[in-house]
Amino acid sequence: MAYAEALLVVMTCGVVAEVLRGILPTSSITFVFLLGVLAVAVRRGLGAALLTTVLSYGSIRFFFGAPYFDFGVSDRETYIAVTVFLVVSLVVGTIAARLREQLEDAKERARRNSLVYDLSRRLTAVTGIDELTRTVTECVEEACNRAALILLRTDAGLLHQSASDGAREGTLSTTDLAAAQAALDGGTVTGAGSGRHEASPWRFLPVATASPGGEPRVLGVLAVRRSQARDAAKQEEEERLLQAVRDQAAIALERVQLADQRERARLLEESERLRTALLASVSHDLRTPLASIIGAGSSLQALGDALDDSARHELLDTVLGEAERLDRFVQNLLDMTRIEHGAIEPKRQWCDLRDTVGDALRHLRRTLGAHRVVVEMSAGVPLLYTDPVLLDHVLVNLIDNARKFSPSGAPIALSATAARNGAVTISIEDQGQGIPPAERERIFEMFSRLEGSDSKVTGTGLGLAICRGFVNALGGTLVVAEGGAGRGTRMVITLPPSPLLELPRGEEA
Amino acid sequence: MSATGRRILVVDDEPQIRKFLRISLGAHGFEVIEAANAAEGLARCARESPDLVVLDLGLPDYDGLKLVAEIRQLSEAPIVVLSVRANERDKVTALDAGANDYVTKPFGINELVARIRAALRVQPTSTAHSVYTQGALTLDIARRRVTLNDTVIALSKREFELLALLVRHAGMVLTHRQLLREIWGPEHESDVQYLRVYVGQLRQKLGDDPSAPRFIANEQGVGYRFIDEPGADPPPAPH
Repeated sequence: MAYAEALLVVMTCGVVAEVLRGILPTSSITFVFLLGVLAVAVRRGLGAALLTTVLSYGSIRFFFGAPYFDFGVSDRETYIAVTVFLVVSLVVGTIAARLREQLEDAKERARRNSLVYDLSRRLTAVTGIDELTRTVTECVEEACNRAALILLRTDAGLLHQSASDGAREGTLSTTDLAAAQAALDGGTVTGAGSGRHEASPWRFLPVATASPGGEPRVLGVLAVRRSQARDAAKQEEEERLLQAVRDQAAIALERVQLADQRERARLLEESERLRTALLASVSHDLRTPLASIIGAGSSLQALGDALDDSARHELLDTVLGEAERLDRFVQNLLDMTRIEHGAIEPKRQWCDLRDTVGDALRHLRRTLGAHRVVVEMSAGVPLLYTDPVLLDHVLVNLIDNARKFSPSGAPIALSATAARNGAVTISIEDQGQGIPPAERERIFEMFSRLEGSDSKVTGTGLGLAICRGFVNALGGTLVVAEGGAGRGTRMVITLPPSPLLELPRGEEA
Repeated sequence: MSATGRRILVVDDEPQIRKFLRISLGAHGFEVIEAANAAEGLARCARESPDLVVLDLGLPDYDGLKLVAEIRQLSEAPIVVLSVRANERDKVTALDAGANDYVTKPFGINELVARIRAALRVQPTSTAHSVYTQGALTLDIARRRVTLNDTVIALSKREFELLALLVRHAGMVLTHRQLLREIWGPEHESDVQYLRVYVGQLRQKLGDDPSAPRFIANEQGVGYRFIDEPGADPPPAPH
């Protein structure tokens, strides 16, 4: 390609020279060809420049030196001019070609440096080990065109991590691995060109950071395939680049590992908190009703006939009521476990919301006592394709909550409306003390209780978490909003639209 | 109705349950025989011809649903199953396999007695009764007339069929499938939405409030039941 260009350039110069033939003397015509040589040297390097020189020299002698169309040159002046041309052309061509080479080198260096700066920037954004090793090995591959691997220290020994495209998992032989291990343990470079484990096609650079004591902590090893660079200067340059990469990798690696440790500690702390809360809750909430049951039952047994009818009825009421409470608590725990394990599978069927609300109110009739629930269902609420048992459970919990927080006598408002797309919104509103905006998400966490709330409030702290778990399983959302007129609390359930429904055709009366 | 002399077989592996059933059902005038496992249950059923069987679906040594089918083969006696909460699918399967009604554990004795009475009373194939009265409601099957407090209520054909079917089995649960098959035919046995619409219409016409029903009770996820003992306690909150 370059040589074809040389030919083309010479031909172009010939044409130009031909045009100028009458105007300029032959010695000046050589400058036209000199320009050609210069152009080719800058563009195509030494080899092409030399070819251009030779071709130009030949052309001048053949076409422009009298006698024409003959390589011989009769004129002494022209002869000198042509010879000078050859010498100058060679020198100029060589200089220009070398300049070009240096320019290429400078560009290459700039590219590598920019890759290293780029690496630094990318490493600050990296969040995981895999991402980190991949970024680093890709950088090495791009900068030096050499395959790279990063091996990390595990509790036992070394662990293979990601590789760039040039290398695959398992390409390290046992000797290679031994060399890598030596780099890890000794904190020194091993492998090709290091004087240790020379036979390996890889070079192993330890990735280490300084620890507070001053001793370097080796976190892993950067393995790079042996250099293809031909001269020592280039090799040295690559080595410097690798060291820069390695150092950046060390810092990023340490950062990522610390972040990992912090996250694990946080999760551990969180699960500890839940476990503690669960134990406390189970212990208290199981034992309390049991205490009442055993108390009342043993009183009945011990006092027997000494009790009058009404006293006996009351004690029996206690036994029954507290046993039911215990049952509710056990059910809550089971539900919560199912939710945590993602084991809730809604069993959907077509439901009439009126049915479900009715059921919920029936279940709560004894508990509600004097509290009134006012139900307002808009006419457009369609049949819902959902799980009636789960939905009932949610409504029971929410209405019961509303009752707990409502002053007696104040009504609880339950309303349901349908949106145009078929989504249904159910809201339960009480007139109680309300929930401050800061708490509105926290109350859905397990075992949370409202700060500074009336200590008469009973419950396991699981109710709302279960409600949300169930509503989510049904594909809906449950949120808290402020009650109307700025007081109280409004719980809002939104259920997704149900599929299209085929209803029976009109029937005869 | 008189329960004197009716024999009930209780099949449950829990001795405490058997004890309290023996005592309380006995106090209601029933003769109670017991079985602690499936094999004993089948044997006593064959030998002693109970009038009704109370069966725990959760027997540890045998699949409760299979047991329902096997008892059904031995005896025409109604079966009331005891099942744990949140197992609607099993309840429906048991009912479809031949059980007549169910009670959810833990349960109160009133509820169980109501189911037992309803199951012992119902003669679904009998055509002797063509007029049913439940409280203020009267159904005249032959004349297809429904009156509430002496006012005639206009019902469509399907509405009447649905109401009549429920009333004929008053006190007993009918699964969605049973209702749909009977009234709309087997090809519609999964179209629960039909039931929702028609029960809604019935309720409206009868003035029945779903949160405090007098006539039609919704058995969540299972079916419907016509209420025959208005004084009976509602089941405790299952939550």
